[in-house]
Amino acid sequence: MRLLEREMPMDPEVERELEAIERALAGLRVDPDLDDLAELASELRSERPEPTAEAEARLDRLAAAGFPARSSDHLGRLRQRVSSAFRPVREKGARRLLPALGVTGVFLVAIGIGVSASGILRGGENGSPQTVSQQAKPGGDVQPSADPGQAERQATPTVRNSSKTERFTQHLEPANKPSSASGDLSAAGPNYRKIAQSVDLALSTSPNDFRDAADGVLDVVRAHRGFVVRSDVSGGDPGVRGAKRGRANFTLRLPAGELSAAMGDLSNLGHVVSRSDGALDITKRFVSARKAIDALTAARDGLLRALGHAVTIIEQQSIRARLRIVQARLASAHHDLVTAQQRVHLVPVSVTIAADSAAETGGPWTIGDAFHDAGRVLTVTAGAALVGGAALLPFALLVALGAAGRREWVRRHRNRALEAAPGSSAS
Amino acid sequence: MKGVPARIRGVNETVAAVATPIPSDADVAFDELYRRNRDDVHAYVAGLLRDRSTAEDVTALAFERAYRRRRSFNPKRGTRRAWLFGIARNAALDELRRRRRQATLAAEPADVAATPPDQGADVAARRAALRAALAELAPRERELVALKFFAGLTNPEIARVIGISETNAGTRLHRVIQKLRRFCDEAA
Repeated sequence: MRLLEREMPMDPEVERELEAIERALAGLRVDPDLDDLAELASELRSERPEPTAEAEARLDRLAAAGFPARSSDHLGRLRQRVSSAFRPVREKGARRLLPALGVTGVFLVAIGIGVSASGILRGGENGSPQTVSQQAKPGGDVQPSADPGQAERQATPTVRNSSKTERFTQHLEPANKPSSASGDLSAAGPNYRKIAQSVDLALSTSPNDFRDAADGVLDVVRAHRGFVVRSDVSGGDPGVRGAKRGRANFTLRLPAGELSAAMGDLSNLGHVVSRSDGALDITKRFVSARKAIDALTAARDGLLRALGHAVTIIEQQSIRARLRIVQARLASAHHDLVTAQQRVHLVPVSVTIAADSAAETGGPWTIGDAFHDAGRVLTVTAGAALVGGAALLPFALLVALGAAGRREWVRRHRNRALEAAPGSSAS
Repeated sequence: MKGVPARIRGVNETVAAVATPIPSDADVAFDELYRRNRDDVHAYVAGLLRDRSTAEDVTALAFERAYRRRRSFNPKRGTRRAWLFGIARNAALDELRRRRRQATLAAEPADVAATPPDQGADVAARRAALRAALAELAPRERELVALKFFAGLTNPEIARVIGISETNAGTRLHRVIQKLRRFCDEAA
């Protein structure tokens, strides 16, 4: 509509009369036929309300004081205080630098996030994350166990180890997946699942730290009430010139309840090269052993009763022979059960430590490392900026929409107030 | 002391003059704007509100707002004068809104008989007719009269203040003049 009005040429007569009004207001002569219009313009001009002398003086006083905000205008007073506080900064021209400072600040924050997230400053790992896999062995479902840390890992498909920036990728079945075992197993209930865990951990240390790390394994085992099944430590003696590169293998048994804490302590002994966690559901084996024990106990009791009622010697000998067989089977079943219980409560852990000069902490930082770190910082910074932008964009749009809506609302109400102003008897 | 100029030899202490803040460009421009437009803004606001006492407050408020925003003025969006009158218009309309919210204050009655004593009966009659005609105008029309004849704005400035095209401003102004002429002729 406004475009149409702008493009529409004005009536020449209207234009002439408007021109005459301008000339009359400027005190210039107009065409004789427009004298009455000029006179009307002059009369209208003479109707102009003039401020009183007091009003003029008051306005001048306010102007001299820099138009201070009224006492009722709290927001205005606050603005003035802020404005006066920043006045020296403005006078020094720093205001022009504000956009540049703002952009620089945003970049610094993003770079800070990037450096922090990339883990470069954490050290000890040369910034390279290690992949540690945890796989359930075939034929077994992983179920909640007595170890809370283990249960948590099982419930979460992918877990980030914050202390070592290692990615745990678990290829596990859901914890509540129905078991493929028979109804005997389901009767045992999820809380009675028996999980046989196992962990393989490979560490590397600097040659100087190798011996300490190997000794540390024993300390950790002792602290967590486990025991060493087998240990083999060779080479790596710092006092012997030309000694073989150090290598140590430990086979440990750690209580299932201490496993999580013990693995954390073991991981701190060196640089984690790899870690494999295994879990095997042996509930079926448990149930079978118990059922066998129950059945064999019942058979033995029956045989003992039959022996009491046996009359002939041949009959008694036959029963005794069968009794020996049953008792042997019962002992075997008990042994199976105890073995399975031990397997659940004492987790086999294999630890390998290798001395590696590349794992030396605080080693020479090459230009290649610098490029690598710079690339990571830039990547993470860009990611952080992108995520930040994506998060802020809808918010900014909402704010802009709200501001535009408020402006339009105020404009409409102002127009309405003008329409409804007193004295509008004609339109 | 060899390299020290002779005129500052023996001067151990200098007394610095008390520094007075140097006004910025925006401050200087605003001061100029205030001095040139104080009465025009008052005339426009008084013409729009038809209430002299409130007009003084609203004029002060308009200058206060303009002073606070003096650094946000953008010459690409019109003259400084049009910018100031835009602020004054919003302040006046806010006052009208406030009045609507509180209670309808009757407009100050135009003093139809108020004519300088040295003027003749004919002139007095014409002025009375003109005031009656002004009182008959709708608020939007009265606003145009206030902007054009009281404040002395050009048509492009009026267009900028009330947010319409220049052609539309001229057309509307012409229509109001015709209306006033008709009223005055009928009264005569």
